[in-house]
This record gives sequence, C-alpha cells and structure tokens, in this order.
Amino acid sequence: MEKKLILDKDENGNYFLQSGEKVVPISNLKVNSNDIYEVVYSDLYENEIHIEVEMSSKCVSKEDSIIYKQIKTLFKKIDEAINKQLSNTIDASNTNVAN
Amino acid sequence: MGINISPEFGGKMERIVTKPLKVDLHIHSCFSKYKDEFDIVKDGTEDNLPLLFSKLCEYEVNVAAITDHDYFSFSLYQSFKKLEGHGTLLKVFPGVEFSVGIKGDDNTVKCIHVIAIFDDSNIDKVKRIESVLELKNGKINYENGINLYFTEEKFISKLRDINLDVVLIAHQKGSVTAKKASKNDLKSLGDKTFDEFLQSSVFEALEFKSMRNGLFNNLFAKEKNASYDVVRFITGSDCHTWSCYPKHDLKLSEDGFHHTFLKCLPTFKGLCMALTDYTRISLSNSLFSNDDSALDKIELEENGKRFSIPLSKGLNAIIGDNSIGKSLLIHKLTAYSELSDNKIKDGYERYLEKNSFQILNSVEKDDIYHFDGQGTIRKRFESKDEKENQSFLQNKFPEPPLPDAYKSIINEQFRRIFEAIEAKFLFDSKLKQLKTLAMVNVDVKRKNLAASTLLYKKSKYDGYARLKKYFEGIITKIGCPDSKVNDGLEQVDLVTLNHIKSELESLKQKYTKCLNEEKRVFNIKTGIKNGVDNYNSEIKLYKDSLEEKNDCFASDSEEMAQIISELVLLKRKIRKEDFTIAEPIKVESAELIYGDYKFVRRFRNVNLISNEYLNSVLKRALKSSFCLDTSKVTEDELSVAIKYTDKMSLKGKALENFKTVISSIVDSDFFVESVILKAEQDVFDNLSNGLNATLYFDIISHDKQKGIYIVDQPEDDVSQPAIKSNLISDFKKMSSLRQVILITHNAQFVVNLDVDNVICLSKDKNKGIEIKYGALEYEDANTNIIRTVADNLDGGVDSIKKRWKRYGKEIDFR
Repeated sequence: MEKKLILDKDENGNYFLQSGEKVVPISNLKVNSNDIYEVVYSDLYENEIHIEVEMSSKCVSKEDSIIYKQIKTLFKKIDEAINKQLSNTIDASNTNVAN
Repeated sequence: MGINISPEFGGKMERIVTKPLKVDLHIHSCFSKYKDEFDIVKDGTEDNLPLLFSKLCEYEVNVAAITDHDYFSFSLYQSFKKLEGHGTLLKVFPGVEFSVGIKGDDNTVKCIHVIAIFDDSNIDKVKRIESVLELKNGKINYENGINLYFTEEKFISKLRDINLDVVLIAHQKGSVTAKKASKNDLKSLGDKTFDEFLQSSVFEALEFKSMRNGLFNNLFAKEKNASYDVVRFITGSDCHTWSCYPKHDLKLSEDGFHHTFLKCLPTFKGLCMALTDYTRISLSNSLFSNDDSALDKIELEENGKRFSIPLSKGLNAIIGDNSIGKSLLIHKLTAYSELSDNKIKDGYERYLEKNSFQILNSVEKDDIYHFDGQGTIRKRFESKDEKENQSFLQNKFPEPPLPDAYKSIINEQFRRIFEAIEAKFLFDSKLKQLKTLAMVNVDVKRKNLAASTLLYKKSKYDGYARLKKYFEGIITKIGCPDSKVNDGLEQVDLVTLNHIKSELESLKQKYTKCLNEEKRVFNIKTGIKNGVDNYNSEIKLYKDSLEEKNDCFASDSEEMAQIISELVLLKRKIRKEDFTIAEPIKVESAELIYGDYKFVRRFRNVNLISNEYLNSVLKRALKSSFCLDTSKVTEDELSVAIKYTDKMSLKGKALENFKTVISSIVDSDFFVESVILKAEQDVFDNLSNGLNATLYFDIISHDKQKGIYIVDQPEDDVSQPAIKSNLISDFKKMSSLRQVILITHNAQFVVNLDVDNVICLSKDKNKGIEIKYGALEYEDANTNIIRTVADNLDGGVDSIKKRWKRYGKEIDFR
C-alpha cells in the first residue's frame, strides 16, 4: 500500500507533517521519531509499504526545500527498512513452511 | 443298583476345610409327582439314581439333598445315602420342600416353599420323616381343606414331630428387589413380613436359581449384612428331571446355573455353620486366598512323638493353657525372626530342650506379611516415635502419581503467556530507543563560507633592517676615528669625511624610514591576518556544527528508520494472550483402599487442569489489584505486581522473576501429599499421632499384599466391644486374602470369628502335650472342637451356645 505524508507549515512558520488526520509537529527543527512511528505503524499490516512525502504549496522557500529534503530522506530510509524487515519475515515464514 | 463308584473323595473325613464344598440342596425326584406333573419327574426314581449321581459328579457336587414337595421317601434317601463318599459326593442330607401357608402383609395367606434339610446323624429319626409326612389316599395330607399347603402351625408341628435339627431355606426364586414377587417366594408375603423373617433368623438362607436375580440379591445382602449378618443366599437347582440336571426340566429354558460353595466340613453341623455365616458362602470357589505363601502344616515332635497339624489357608486359632508354649510355637515357627529379646529366645530354647520338644518346620521370613507379638500393636502406636508409626502407614500408600505430563500442559499454556509478555517488553524497550531528530534549515557548504588567509612576506622588512644597521655601522666608524688616524688627517679630507658622514646619515635615515614604514605595514597586515584567521576559525566552528547536525540527522534517521521498522514487526507480535484449555483435564491421584480407609497420594493443590486453575496460578503470582493483559503490561508494572515470598531472592528482570514465581507455585501445587481419607476426611494426622489397634487391623485386613499374618493375642490390644464391632469383620476379610495364624484366649476370636481351624494345645494326664485341632464343626469319637473351645476359653460357652441355638432350632415364626 502507499502512504502519503505532506510537509506543511503554519502561519508562524512552524513545520509539521500531515498524514490523514494525524499530525507530526516539527518544533524548532526537531521531530520526535516516536510521533513518526505512531503515524507509520498504524497502517502497516500489509506486506509491502511505500511512503511518499510531498511538500505543501505553502512551502516555497529554500529553507523549506532543505527541510523537505531531510524529511523525504528520512521516510525513504524508513520505507526501505520496513520493506526489508517485511521481506525478511516473509522469507523466514516461507522457510519454516518449507521445512 | 449296579453303581460303579470310585472313591475319589472317599476315606477319612478331613478335620479342616481345605476346599469349599459345592452343594445342591434342592433336587426333586419322582416323589414330587404328588405336586408336580409326573412327566417332568418321572426319571427321578430310585433305580435311576446312578443318572443323578453321574450328573452330580459331572458338576463336581459334594453335598446334595433330594427335597420332594411335602414328601420324604426314606428308601430313596437310603439309596442315595449309599453314594456318599463316592465320586465327588461327600454328603447326602435328608430333606423336604415344604409348602407352607403364611400370612403376609395384606393378611392373606400365601403359599411359601421352604426347603428343610435335616440332621442325618440319627437314621431312626430320619426314617420317621416319611411317616410324619404320610400320604392319605395317595395324596399329601395337608389337613387344610382344599389348600395345597400346610398351615404355619401344621408345618411347625410336622417339624416337631420329625424332631431333627434342621436348617430351613426359603424359596426366593425372584430377585428380592423386584417390584413384583414371584409365586411361592418369601418376598411374596410383603416387605414387612419378609423383613421380620430375616430379622428373626427363622430361615438360614434364601434360595434362588437365576444368576440375574443373584446379582440383585447379592447387592441386597451386601447392604443388609453391612452391620450384622441377616441374610444369606444360596442357589439350588430345583432339578425335576435328572437327565437334564441342573436344569429344572427339559422344557424350561434357563440361563447358566451356578452352584453354591460352602466353607464347611461335610456334616450337618458344618452345613449349619456355613448357612449361618455369609462369609462361608460363595458362588465361586474363592473362599480361600490363592496366596501360595500359606503354610500347610505345623510339624512337632515331643519325646519322639510326631504331630502334624494341618493349617487352613484361612483363619487358624491357637488356643490353650497359659504357658503351654503357644507364643514359643509361633516364634520358633518363624525362626525367631520377629523376636528381638534374646533372653526370651534363650528361655524358649531351654523350654524346648527341657521338654524334648521340637518344631520341625518353619516359615520363611519372606512369607510373613506381618508378625505382631504380644502387645506389640499397642506398643507400636503408643510409641511417640512418629517414624515407627509412619513407617507402617507409608508402605500402605500407592506409588505417587507423576506430574510431568500435567506440568507440560501447564508449561505450554504459560509459555504462550510468557512469549506475549516478552514481545510486549521487547516492543517497549525498542520504543524507548526512539529519539528526537534535529534538522538544519541551511545548506552547508564549506568552501563558500571560508575567508582567504592574508599572506605577508617579511624579507623586505628584514632588508631594511639590515641596511639601517649597515649605515649605522659605517657612520659610527667614520664619526669616531682613533687618535692615530686623526693626527695625520688633512682638513680637506676631514671635510670630505664629514660630507660622506652626512650622506650616510641621510641614507641611514632613508632606510630607517623605510623600515619603520614596513614595520607599520607588518603590524597592520598581522592584525588583518589574525582577524581573518579568527573569522575563519569561527566560520569553521559554525560550519562544523551544521555539518555535525547534518551528519547526525543522517545517521540518526538511519537508526530511527531501522528501529521503526523493527517496531512495526514487534507490534505485530503483541497480543492479548489467554489460557486455551477447551476441556478441563482431570488430574489423577493414586489410591489404595483398605476398607473405609483410602490411602491417597495426590497433588497438593490441583485436581483439574482448566483455565480456572491456570488463572488461579496467575492470581497467586500477582497482586490482587493487578490484572494481567499481555498486550498492555509494561515491565515496570509487572515488576511491581509480582508477589514475592520471603524465600525468594529474585534479582532478575521482571519476566524472569515472573517465570520463577509461576514455576514455584506450580511446583508447590504439584507437591505430592499423602492423605488417608475416611468418609472423605483426611485422618492421617490422627492416625499417625494415635493410631490404635482397631484402625491398624482395619487397614491390614484390606491389604492385598501376600504373606501370612501371625498375631499373638490381638485381644490384648483392643477393647472387648471393639473386637465385636470391628475386629471380627476385619479378621474375616483378612482370611479371604491371606492365611492367619492367631493365638487367642478370647472366645469371640474363635467362635464369632468362625475360624477355619482351632488348634488347642494342652497337657495330657502324663504332662505330655495334647493337641486337638479341626474346624469348629469337627467332631469325632475323641474330639469335639466346639466343646474344646468352650472348655478352654473364658466366655466361650456363651458364645457357642448363642451360635448353637440356631442348630437345635426351636421354630418360632413370629
């Protein structure tokens, strides 16, 4: 399944990530990975996941791009790690079945 | 009659019962024609007795009686009697099947059939039976109008006229528990009258034939006889047609007939003894134990005279004068293996030697079940040594049950709980590793932000410094010539020199000025350099911080991504786990039953493995306020919730401690405890603290372990009432399991116990030993065992009289 997150910022310039109804604040350029996990895990009952991060139309500055780039990198890594774990699990269970 | 008989059982009668007798006291002959159809009894003639004899031998019948309806043929009896001692037939009794009209519960008279078996010892009296029951006009003379039965009074009067000891057996062809009573059965009189007859002991026994009814009758007898011997059942073939013995006749279809076995000598007294004690009656040949450790005889020699005393496989009572050597006999017989007091042993040996007395055989120690010497039972249980008490009890318990199979079921259930908790803890621990990620909002580019360092070449400054120094040196030399040089110097030259000196001074000043200028530039440049350097240094620090943040974000995000991915998988393993035993599993205990006592080895606190039990283990492991939810519990919560006992010194992690506590509770529940239950109450503590001899006998009377039980004066260890209420039945039970050799001075232990063999030791006129032995009913010209018992035991006469009364019965119906 595909999961979409949007990097956005409020009128005070504080960034946040939006995933459906869930919001992950990025306060003082700091993001809590626990919040990220909370956003990510809830839908992860599939055997494959693709996390996409998009930038809101409010984010137009160079600084916004820099933040977006980092967030995108972070989720790309999460995406890869999860899919690797899921694939390992499937392999292991297949091996068990074969055995 | 031309009977070819072989004396298989013939010869001298045995003194004790070594083999129960197979009996049939209800056989008809052709003389039942006065009541029954002639067709079915027509082969029962005197001439045809060989047929009956061969049938009886075929069925190995030892005791028989022809009992025709209300009639007795002396001639037939005499012919039959001649077969006594041949084939398997040891005894033939005279008998009659009386039809007696008795008033029942509903006040109406019903005809009951009663088998009367008479004492055969007086042939003249036996002969009189026929005349008492003399026919009138070729028919039975009931003297009762049209009724074909004797009234109660007439029946009693007939018995009185016959004037023989008699045993009476009432018809009970149907089951006593059947709703509808069969015709001619005692039960047809109604429950009340039936019960009155049982209680009044008018009838020695009730007779049935069908084995199906026998089952119900046995249950009835078991219940009735639980406290007192009131009813005894025997079978009778009621055979009317000899050719189809033991069937009734050729027409009647019947299920298999079982003869009754009686434990008695083949005498009328023996029959009386057997029919007045239900423990002497059986439908199988199982009145004695099959224990092959039983001793078959005691062999003695006194002054060269040998005695061989046969022993019964059941109860053998040794009675006799004090100091005659009864205790010595049993100790010597057991090779003193149970006698620890050497003084007594030496005394016994001296006695044997002095009296030229020898006991020639002995019992192997392994063949002895228990040997209780005089007073040792009481002593044993008065002992404060619990070990001694316990050791007797401990070996009465069964092997303990094995917990492994049950524990593995429990462990499997808890394994899933533990795994679920472990998954949750692992998840929590992983979750704690998640941290805040710091990002940067500027692009970090090292080259653009660094300032170039100012370079300064010092060689120019050094050149000016050297030139200044050079001109200063020349000027100094020119301005101060030495006196020798001055004295000869011309004025012109002096002016020239001064001119040169002035020019040099100008040069010096020029280069001093250059040097100073260069110094100023140097200082300025040095300041600028330092400023740039400081700037670069600060820039570097700033850049490093951004770089670090950037790098840190890169590596942290890598780590967090990994942790998040692991959490995703761990989260999947978190579950609310419960116990899943669909059907409770019964936990078996091991038990051995000794009468009213159940010796049980069981697990202390578990009899059913169910979800309830497993939850109870959890409850005991955790504080009451805590409810374990494996999907929510945290390590801290579990750690606080575990109940620790004082004995536990747990230092591990919460889950490890939890496992230890659960395991400890389960182990404790599966601790094997030994209990002795009586009416489902544990009496073990009472027993071990003060087990008395009554209970001791109660227990050993049901012990199926093989071996001979030898006991010296058991009456010393129990009260007189207890002998009557408990010990008699205990010893009776014991005698069906093992051979018992007991020494006693108590008549109850001989007569009420109905021992199988009485051995009486006494001194004869010449002070030599005299030994009388035999079954209670045994008598011959020189020996009458009952009289011997009466002569030797205190209170024995009364006990015997009470019993004997039933032999010389005075008929008193109600």
